[in-house]
Amino acid sequence: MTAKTRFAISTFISVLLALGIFLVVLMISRQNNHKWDLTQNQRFSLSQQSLDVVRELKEPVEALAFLAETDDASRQAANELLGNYKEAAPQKFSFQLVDPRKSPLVARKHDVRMPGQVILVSGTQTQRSTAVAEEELTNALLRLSDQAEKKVYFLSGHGERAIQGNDPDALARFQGGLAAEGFQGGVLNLLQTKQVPADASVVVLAGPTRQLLPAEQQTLKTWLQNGGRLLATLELETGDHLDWLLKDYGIKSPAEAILDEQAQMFGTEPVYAVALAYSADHPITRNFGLNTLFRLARPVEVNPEATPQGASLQPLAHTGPYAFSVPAADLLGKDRVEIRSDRVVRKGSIPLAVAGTFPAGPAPAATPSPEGASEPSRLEARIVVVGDTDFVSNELFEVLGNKDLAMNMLNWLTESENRITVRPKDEGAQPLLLSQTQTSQVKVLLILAIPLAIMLTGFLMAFRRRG
Amino acid sequence: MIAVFNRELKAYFSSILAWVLVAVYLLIVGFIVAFSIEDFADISMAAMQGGRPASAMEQLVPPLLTTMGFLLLFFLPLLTMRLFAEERRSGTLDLLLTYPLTEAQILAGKFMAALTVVGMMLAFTLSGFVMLGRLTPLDWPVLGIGYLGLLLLSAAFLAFGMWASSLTSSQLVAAVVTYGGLLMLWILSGVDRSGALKERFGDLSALAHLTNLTKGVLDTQDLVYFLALATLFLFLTARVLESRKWRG
Repeated sequence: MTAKTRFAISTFISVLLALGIFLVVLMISRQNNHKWDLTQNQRFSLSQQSLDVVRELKEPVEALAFLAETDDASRQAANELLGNYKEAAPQKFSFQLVDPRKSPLVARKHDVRMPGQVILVSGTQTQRSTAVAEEELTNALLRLSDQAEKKVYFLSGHGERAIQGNDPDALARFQGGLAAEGFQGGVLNLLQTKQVPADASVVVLAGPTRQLLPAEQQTLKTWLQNGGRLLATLELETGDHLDWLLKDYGIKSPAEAILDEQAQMFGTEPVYAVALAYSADHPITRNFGLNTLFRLARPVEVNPEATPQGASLQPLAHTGPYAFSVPAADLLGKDRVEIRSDRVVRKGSIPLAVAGTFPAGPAPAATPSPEGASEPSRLEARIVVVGDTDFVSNELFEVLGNKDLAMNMLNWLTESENRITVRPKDEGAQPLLLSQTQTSQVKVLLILAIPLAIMLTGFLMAFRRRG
Repeated sequence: MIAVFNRELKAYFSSILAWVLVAVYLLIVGFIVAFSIEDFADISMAAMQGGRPASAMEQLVPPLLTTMGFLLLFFLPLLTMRLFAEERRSGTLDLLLTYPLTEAQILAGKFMAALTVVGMMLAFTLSGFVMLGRLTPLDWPVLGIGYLGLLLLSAAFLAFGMWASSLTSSQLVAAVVTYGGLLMLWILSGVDRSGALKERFGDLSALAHLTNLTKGVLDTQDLVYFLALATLFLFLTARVLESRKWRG
């Protein structure tokens, strides 16, 4: 064998080796990659809550994303999002993109009638996510791992807001939002049931306009003493009707109406109040960065003198500095708001909601549990009181961050803090306003000035070299 | 290596070709950037009225960076075609190989010189984003990652172009081979529709790896892809140069 042949063979082998090493390096880098999402709002990463949820899955889950093969953009987005879940827990999460037209039987089996849905399958259990979006997917995963739905009862019979109907004052959207998060809603009439049902996770007192009967009050108190969970939203006119409850739990809501000059941007009288500051320590409002809107709200604050032993109470939300309160009587029965500085009770940073935990005590002997009803046996009671019911009404529920705040309250009350509300990732986006002059400047600089300057420099250099 | 680097850089800028290339690239990029900014202004106003504001960092910057990368595919072969083909044609390659320099040093010098020209070309395109940044908030670290992606893409493309140039004494053939090869690298993800290759090796297409970086996602997989691709073709070029010694 000549030296040339030996060299040719060695070159050939080294080229093959190099190609092999190239592919092996790619394979290793694919299996051991690290990723950093450097976008300001972590647009391409899962939130910490989603990561926790997928990593803590007890059983493997397969996601079937139903998307048409022709919809490249949606498939790519789904691949990226579902890929992030898989990357976080490769042993527990897998996914497939399914074209419902090519696999009609699979689509029919999971009752998928239109593309864009994701079915999560774990063993024999399934959950549906109506969109290929992080919030929906993570909450569907949570529902899958926590199949026992939590039940939220809305107390009725005292002029509370209806939970159905399109009336702007009704709470149908709130109720719908609860269902989307896997809660089951129901109406509770204590006169009929005589007790809080055993499956109640939370009872909502949505602005009762009439007093509860003493027996009903006692039933609720007993339930709370045994670790019940309550969300009470007040009405300006009738907030005092819940004094029997609030005073025992170290919360007070003075008969004042909160007005906010800042809220005049809504083009109405200043009856709206915007909550701008939130408690950074409480799980409900930790990292909560959205404004929330209230209408004809009452202040709700902690009453340190009446705080029960062992209780922990915290104001959740405060208005901005331009809000002020006047006696409720100044507004009630009036046709329009008249602001008189001498009637202002307090100014700026008015508390709008309070959350508290209370050590649960034994049920009083006077109210034994009737047969069939097992009282909750949790170690602590939880109460959230909000100085307004409108903030969860059909009209305001989806305005600003109202939905997020309400859902966070419910999730905290039911100890489902890991249920999440994922902020939209396009926050902070601003419209690009371009004047005619600016448009011309951009064009002249980029299309004319810079290329021309480079070209001229080149000609000058060439000219000088020749000269 | 420094000597080769200086010699190559001087050769680039003493010929009018490099200047024309840079100017035409900037003209096309400037044209696309200026009109995209104008279009985005309309889109963002409409989006704002629809209640969902459009983000320049999401809807404008990544497509622009990807387009800039795509345009490099047409310009870089013109930079690399002469690197060895011209030397081969004029007979200066053999002379160069007799210098007390290793193939690696020659390669590195030529490669770095070409990369410097591309780096300058890309640096000038920043002016468009600086103007955009005065009109709307930009996420500069994300833009930085996008430019890093373009530089890595250029390095891989240049290495491929150098290899093609080392194979022939015709600049035209070198340019055509480079165009074809780079185009294949660009569209590879579309070819592998079954995803079998992707499953094993990750995406082999340069476009897929650049897309990640233009969005502001720094993935070691993308960095390794471009660096490995550049290293592979630099190695292959070195082997071609070495083969001249025993071919005689």
